[in-house]
Amino acid sequence: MDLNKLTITKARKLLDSGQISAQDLTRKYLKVIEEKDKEIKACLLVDKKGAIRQAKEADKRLKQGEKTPLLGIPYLAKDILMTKDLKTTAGSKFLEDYTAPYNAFVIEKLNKAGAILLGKTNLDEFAHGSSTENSAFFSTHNPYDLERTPGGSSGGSAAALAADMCLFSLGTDTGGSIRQPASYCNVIGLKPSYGRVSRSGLMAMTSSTDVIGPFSKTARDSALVLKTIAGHDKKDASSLKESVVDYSKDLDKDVKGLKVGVVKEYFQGLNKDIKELIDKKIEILKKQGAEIVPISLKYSKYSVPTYYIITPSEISSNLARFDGVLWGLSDEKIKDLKKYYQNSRSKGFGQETKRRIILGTFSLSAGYADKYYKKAQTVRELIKKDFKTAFDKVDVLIAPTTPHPAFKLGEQINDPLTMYLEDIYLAGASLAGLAALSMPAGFVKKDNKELPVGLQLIAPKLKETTILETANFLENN
Amino acid sequence: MKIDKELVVKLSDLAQLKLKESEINMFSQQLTEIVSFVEKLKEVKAEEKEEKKLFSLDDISRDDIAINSRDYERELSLESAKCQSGLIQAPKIR
Repeated sequence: MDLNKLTITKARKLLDSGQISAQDLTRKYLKVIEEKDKEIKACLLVDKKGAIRQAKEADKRLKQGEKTPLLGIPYLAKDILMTKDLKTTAGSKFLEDYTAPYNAFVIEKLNKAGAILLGKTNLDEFAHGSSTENSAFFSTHNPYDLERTPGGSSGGSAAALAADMCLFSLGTDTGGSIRQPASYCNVIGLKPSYGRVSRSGLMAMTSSTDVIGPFSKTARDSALVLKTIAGHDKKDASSLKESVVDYSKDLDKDVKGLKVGVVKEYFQGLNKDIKELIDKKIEILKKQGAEIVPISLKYSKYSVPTYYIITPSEISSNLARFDGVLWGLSDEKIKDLKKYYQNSRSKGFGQETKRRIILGTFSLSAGYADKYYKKAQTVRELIKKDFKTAFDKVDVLIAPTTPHPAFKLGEQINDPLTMYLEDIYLAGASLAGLAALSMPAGFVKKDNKELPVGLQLIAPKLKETTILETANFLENN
Repeated sequence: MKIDKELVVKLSDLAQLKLKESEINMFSQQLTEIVSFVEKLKEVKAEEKEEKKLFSLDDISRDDIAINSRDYERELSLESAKCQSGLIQAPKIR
């Protein structure tokens, strides 16, 4: 069995026809993890016993004739999602020994669906970063070139899928953390609309943009995972009550009449090879009957500065709960309460987390809040309005995911501003709460290596079907 | 705007962080660069309606329905003998 070509859809047929059992499939993936993860370092935790136990249960359900899309399908989850009785570290020294007392909503949904959790994947600490280099434990390597980053913050999940360690994986996207690693690792990364998937049991970073979504090898697989994990949850006040649609139902639709917007600002100064690859895809859509419409998002150049005020502000607030009292690392020798907090936080948090907390504290502090935080929120409204105006004219936007292919580990880590600019094409859709996806666009040559790059599709809120149908069409044409 | 060392120390104190001297120097330089970059937003001349929209309710995803919240004070007074004026007396941190 060639795991590289195996998708959820193909595995489903093998499982349903009895050609393979869930236990066999699970063991195959555990073996790949054992073999490949020494080099790639995508996983923070592998739960062999738990995975085999879940696989046995899935086999029982399969024997009883149950046919649900993810029954017996092995997956990995970003280690910022709570998993009952398993360590959940968020990539932080602060939570190195923390065991979650309950499952995140999405993990619970996948458990019920019979999917098999193989383990937890590496990430930048608390999802702060674009390379996994901010993980307190180690950096993950890109399966296409081990010297390079898989992207971040969900780099472990993207790299694991690209290296065939699972059939799908879960990540989180706050300002591009699913789409950028998907682009660097040649897989599909779906950022659902804000509110489509409950964040209950996800450690909060930026509450106004955080979303959970899947990495997969095909658009059809993304559709199947999204249908399983989406839905309202009273434990997340931002989760939407709109019913979950069958995202794979009309996936084979053609693109005749589809209005595709090409955002001119995203192509200005773009790497020539990446532009060529995306232009080819635009040409395919055009030849098959899509209408290509030039679009201008005049506030797009402000999305990164806006994002890097709003995000640290929310981080400084969300991470205030990590004081060493309730959970995680604590300095128990200290008797003075303020020093106790300071010591616990200073020992527990890494540099990027501290940098963002201090930046957020600055943006929210008296005297600066109006000039920075309020200004950023105002510009955010203009960015949202930009997208709204665009979607009055088109159904979907096409854009690059990243300005370049994966960079080398260590290349940008000491330059936070350059690292923040990784989100240049990504932050806008996050600030506006839109549905977006990165899919493989092809390969470009850099330093004599062929490296993957992605293209991005963006649709209005709750129009995941549009981007999944378009991605499915491009995969097959 | 320059984020000098003094401001970094003040901010870290507000954020309950104790920084090493090397971190203070590094953050001062890096945060100055980042803040200069985000000051690009000054170029945007937003209209008053955008500013007002921040506090409006025309972009909400669900209805704002009031529900009865729990009477914590009553519940706590029944469940905890060490409750005074709605506050619980907890064990000291050792």
